Amino acid sequence: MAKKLVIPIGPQHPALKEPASFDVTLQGEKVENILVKLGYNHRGIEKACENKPYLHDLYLIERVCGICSHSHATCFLQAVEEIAGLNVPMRAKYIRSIIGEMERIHSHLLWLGVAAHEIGFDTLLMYTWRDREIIMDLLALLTGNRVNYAVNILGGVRKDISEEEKGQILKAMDVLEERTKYYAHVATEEITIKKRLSKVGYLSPEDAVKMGAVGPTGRASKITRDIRAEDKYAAYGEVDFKVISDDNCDVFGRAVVRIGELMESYSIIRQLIKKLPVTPLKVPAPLRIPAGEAISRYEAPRGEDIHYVRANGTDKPERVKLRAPTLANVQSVSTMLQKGYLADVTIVIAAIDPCFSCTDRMIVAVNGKDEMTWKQLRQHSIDWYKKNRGVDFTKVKLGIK
Amino acid sequence: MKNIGTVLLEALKSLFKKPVTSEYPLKKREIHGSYAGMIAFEQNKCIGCQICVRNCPANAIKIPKLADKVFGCEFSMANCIFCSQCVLSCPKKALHTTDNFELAQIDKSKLIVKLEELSPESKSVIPEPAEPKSDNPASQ
Repeated sequence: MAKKLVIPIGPQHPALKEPASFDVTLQGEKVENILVKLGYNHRGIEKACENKPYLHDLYLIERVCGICSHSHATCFLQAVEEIAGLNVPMRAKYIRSIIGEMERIHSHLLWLGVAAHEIGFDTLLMYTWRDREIIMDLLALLTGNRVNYAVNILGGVRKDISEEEKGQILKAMDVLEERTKYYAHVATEEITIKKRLSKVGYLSPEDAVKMGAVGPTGRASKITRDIRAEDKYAAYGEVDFKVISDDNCDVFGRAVVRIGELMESYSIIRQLIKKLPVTPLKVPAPLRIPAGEAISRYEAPRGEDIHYVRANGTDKPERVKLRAPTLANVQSVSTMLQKGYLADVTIVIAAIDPCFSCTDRMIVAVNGKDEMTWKQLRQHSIDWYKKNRGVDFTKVKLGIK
Repeated sequence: MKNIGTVLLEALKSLFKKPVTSEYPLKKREIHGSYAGMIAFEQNKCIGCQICVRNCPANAIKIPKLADKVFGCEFSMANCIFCSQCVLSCPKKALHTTDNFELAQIDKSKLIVKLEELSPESKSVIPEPAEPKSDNPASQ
């Protein structure tokens, strides 16, 4: 009987792009148990949102994630617009969907490169990231920025798509479709990729439901759920698209699903561009949002994004809660890695397309008492650090009321 | 073993192609007009309404009063998140974005710029504003 070993992976590790810690218990080379530890990147965004007006929140929420920034911003605005009862014009909804799909393309191409890099196939990384530049340039052209596009405003969008830009988008879609067909051929035919990814990180459909896997992670385990199809927000009610799913239930399946979604995204963008209606770009929005609450769902590139907003009639929200897709997916990592090998840990973690900084939230539950005021919480953290780390934070003054 | 090395042909072809990367800073890339880079300020248009100051999510802009009906613009490149909300908010279109993206500085004090002192003829400033097509900018 081999001795059990616990190997810490992270918080800083070359294979992980963000700080997250995994304690892997090994029996020989096989993974027996994996403990996921988050919380290295808590930024207090939800609390900060409560102290800022909606206009500023929009830009803050956009910075929750660098890659799915438009997803978070749109999701938040959908909730606020629902509370305020704003009817967003159709053209604005179309433009939001077009940017959203472009974001999905850039995110999936990025993932394909990262996944290829994790399995040591750097040629594919270079090619996918080269082609990702096409979509990044297009986003910069349409919105003015390569990331954090700031195309949304309360009640609509701020920038129109001109006829010339339409042509450029369609041209780029043709190039990218051609390239993606080639990647689909490489990823599904190339025997080295197939052998490396097949049967790695197996997540059965039952486990996927139990662990709450969302987005491409769930869809690769035969869970055909997509918020775009279920809860037709923005302009998704007006386009035809397939919900891509796969029955491989492993990392290979996740790659197949993402490549399939790329092809669907090109088709969605073409349809949206073709149908783009002529309406105003926005409706006037009030500064003070009437009291009320709303939940908004959005299919981000990584899965279902949920935002909850409660307004109290002032220009600042009373509560903003966001659930990034990685929080739903990260639990399934431990199931995927059971009876797996140590060498598979990085690619299995990378296969859920993790975004840990978006995920980190605070849960207040200390000694069974689940209600604490902010003041008590601060006192608790000061005491905890004094006792466990020997650091005195009493002299640090923070503007928390 | 038929499907081994599917990328090989593509990789070999790339040997005879021009590199995709550009030779920055030797060759500067062409940036289109709508790029949200450095902000430019037109002093004669500013009415000092302070909407941009209020709407800036990053406290990057200040409009000090220089004389009667003359306003300056103090802009912090360190704070700015380049969302161009100020450009959208300005009711008189006194602010506009430029294609200047080379904003890094070694000296921290140089990060705060007095925009009214930058001449409009400077290379980085495009005379034509990047039009945010808004019906009522003051409402945001």
